[in-house]
Amino acid sequence: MINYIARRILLLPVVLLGLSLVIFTMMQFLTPTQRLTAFISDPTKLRGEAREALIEMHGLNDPLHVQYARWLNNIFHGNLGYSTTVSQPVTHAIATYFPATLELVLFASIPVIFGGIWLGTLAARRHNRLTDHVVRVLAITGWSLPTFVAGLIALAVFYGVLDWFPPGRVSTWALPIIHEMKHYTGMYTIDTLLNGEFGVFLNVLRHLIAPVATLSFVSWALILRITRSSMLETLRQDYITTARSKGLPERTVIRRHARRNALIPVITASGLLMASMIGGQVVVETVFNYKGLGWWATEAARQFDFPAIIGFALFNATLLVIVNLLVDILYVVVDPRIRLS
Amino acid sequence: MRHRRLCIVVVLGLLLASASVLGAEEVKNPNTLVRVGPGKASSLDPVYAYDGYTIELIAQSLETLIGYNKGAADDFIAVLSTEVPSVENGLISEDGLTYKFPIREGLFFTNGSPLTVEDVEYTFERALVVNPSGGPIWMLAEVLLPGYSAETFEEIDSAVEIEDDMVVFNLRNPSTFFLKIIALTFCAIVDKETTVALGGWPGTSETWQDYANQPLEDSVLSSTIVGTGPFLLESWTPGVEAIFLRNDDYWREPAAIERVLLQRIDEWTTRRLMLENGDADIVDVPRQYLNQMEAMDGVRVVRDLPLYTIAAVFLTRDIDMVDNTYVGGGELGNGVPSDFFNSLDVRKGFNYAFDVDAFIDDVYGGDALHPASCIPYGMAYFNPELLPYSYDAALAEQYLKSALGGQVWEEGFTLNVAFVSGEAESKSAAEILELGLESLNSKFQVELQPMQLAAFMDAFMAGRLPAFIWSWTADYLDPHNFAQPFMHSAGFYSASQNITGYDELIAQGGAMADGPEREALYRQLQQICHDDALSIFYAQPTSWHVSREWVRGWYPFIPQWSIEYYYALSKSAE
Repeated sequence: MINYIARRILLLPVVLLGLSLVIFTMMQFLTPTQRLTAFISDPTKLRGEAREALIEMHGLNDPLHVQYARWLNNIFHGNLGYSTTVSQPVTHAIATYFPATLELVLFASIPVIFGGIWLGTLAARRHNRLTDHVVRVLAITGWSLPTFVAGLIALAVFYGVLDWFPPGRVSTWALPIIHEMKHYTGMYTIDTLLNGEFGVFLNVLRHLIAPVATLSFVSWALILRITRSSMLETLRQDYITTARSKGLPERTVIRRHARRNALIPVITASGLLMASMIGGQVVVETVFNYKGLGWWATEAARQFDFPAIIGFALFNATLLVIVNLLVDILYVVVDPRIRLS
Repeated sequence: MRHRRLCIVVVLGLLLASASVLGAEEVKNPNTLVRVGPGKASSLDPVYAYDGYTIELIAQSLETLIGYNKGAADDFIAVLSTEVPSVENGLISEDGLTYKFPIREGLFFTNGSPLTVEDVEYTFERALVVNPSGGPIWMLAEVLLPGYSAETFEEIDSAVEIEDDMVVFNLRNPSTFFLKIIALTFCAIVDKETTVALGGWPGTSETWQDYANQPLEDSVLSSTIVGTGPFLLESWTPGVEAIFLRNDDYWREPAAIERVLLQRIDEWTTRRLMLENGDADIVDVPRQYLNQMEAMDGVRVVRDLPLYTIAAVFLTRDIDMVDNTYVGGGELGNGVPSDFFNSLDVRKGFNYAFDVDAFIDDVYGGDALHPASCIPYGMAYFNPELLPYSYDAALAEQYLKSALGGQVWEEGFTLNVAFVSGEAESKSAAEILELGLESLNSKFQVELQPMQLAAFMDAFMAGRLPAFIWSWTADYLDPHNFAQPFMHSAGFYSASQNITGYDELIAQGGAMADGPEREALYRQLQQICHDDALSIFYAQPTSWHVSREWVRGWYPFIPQWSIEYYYALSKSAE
């Protein structure tokens, strides 16, 4: 198994290199002036001479291989470039925005994955009964509701009307405390606890509720439906009938014999869901003013901030490969019959 | 017992209700001002400050030598200078070429360093040294250097000098708008000691070229700000938020507000709810929601503020036809020829075919003016007697019938009108023009061409767009700042349109002292701009400001830009 993991890790640079080539080549279809807009804040103030000088300065007219080699060289020196979208180096931007998204996704993963598995199991056990129908209708409603609609409704009701869960990561009064305290992880819930700021911790939790609820509501359908169908299939297997005929309690049959086997596709889906959630919480982050990785990446794409786009793509690819690897390892943990080779 | 419980519940309910009613009148976060909008500041270095949010961020901590007096266009107050230079007080030479600023003594930067005349000299010399492409320093360079950037350090050195406790500027021409430039935020004074210690330009002639046209990411001041201003920047997360703390040692009366939070929130609904709930005090509101805001309790909407912006349909006189996909077949009938807009008849016909009144009513709800030329209403030397082209189908037909020997009317054309995709107002303008032209002659076809900003820029700068829609906002309030981009052969728009023949007049206007002669020259330029129908100048919109009613003391800090000056503001229910 260690051999397998090592090989997968060694494959990572090849994947990243291929990805970087694809993205870089795509960017080169734009003219130097088009790419130049990434470096200027107000294009209406750019004169002709200034434009030429800027193109020269940023080497946007250099041969393709020179630009790519320069960029690769920078990467090897830990320099992913400068993100004009957020006026800081790309590596700093990732370090700033990734913890926010990770925190959001980790909190959302509890209701999405565990809630989805639990509800999926419940629906399978009560197949074609009222509980099954209610759960399925709820899941389909969440799945079919556009995230921005769900988010705006949540914001309008829980903030606009009730004033319970305000947008942002913390309230105005807590911001100076957040900025003064020591940051260990960039995740406010953990950092506030480590700094002993319990009041701010509760405030951070309060700000997490609405985005987490929105994210859960629109995302859990996938896990729920996969769990349900997988469970239904497993429950029809002979060994389940055998387990039941042996007189095992239904709870044991479900938990130890059925659900464990039904979890394989759920793990795959959960891994991919988590990875996509980390990379793309654009809508939730925008609606709830929760500045994270998805928000940054979208802004970068809108502004042709290609150092940021490439940096984000590389980071996301790395994350995806790691998540896939973790999923593969989890298979073995859940089902010892699977051997990695 | 039951009655007692009921009484308690009723009393509690009444208390809660009254508390909520009273609460609605209370000022939320009385010591903190929260300002939210969709934009972002790009740097803390004034040399790169060329957009509203960056300027707003810097203007709270750094100060200029002089400032605009409560938003007046040409009335100034002394800030770090003890006096506003004038010919009368002897600080401007009779020939208008020398400006002297006596520097206020006993002031300190927030790091404890004293403000000296050397700091001021260094600030301006550094600006002219760094002078980043696409940045705002070209305005200073235009009046202080022979060209838009320095060829030698001597040019810079001789432009800014020290004389006792004064900083002296030696201008190339008597530019009457120099004070308007000096009052802008990119001329704010930085601490030389801090800048040099961080690795910025050391102030020597030997090193100046190492710092010339320095990219923003290499600027040592891009994330450090040490000024003399009323606020200290407590924290700044680029692209997200900035927190300011009151400078209690400020040399004037300390600010009324203790802390300011400037937050970037892109989603309008979020901003609206924050304003409604009182969590935001000043909010950027899209024009179409102003009526909603006026109906909101506790919210103040100030409308019809002057905005020195000219929106126009630009007509390219010499279209680059090589591999150009924006000109159809490149000839009348199924496209346009390269010299289509070289015809004055075509340009006039287009001007008469654009129903500006309908556009202003539909898009701006009447809240815009119709300019007659590239010089906006309210600008010095604006000619109110010059009447704009108004919609007249008969005149449009008359001009287009005689255009290019009648070929335009006979053969018709297919014209692409380009604009930046997502800009609804530009799209509406293109639609109005389309309607006006297509209703004249069935052979006239107008195609709307929405384009991504980068592609749009690329195409129009290369002179490939036959007609395109965009706008220009004043950097400073002088007609030169409009005549140059709209009419000069090297102007931002006019260069792409291939407009020539007015360079000498524009240069004269920029160098001339204020007075009747200058007025006559700008009147002449406006007349030319109108009579030659250089473009279709269709709107000068107005601006607005939305805040909670408890925000007091607001005024437009710099009249031509929508930026806030937190020092002037306070929060109180009364």
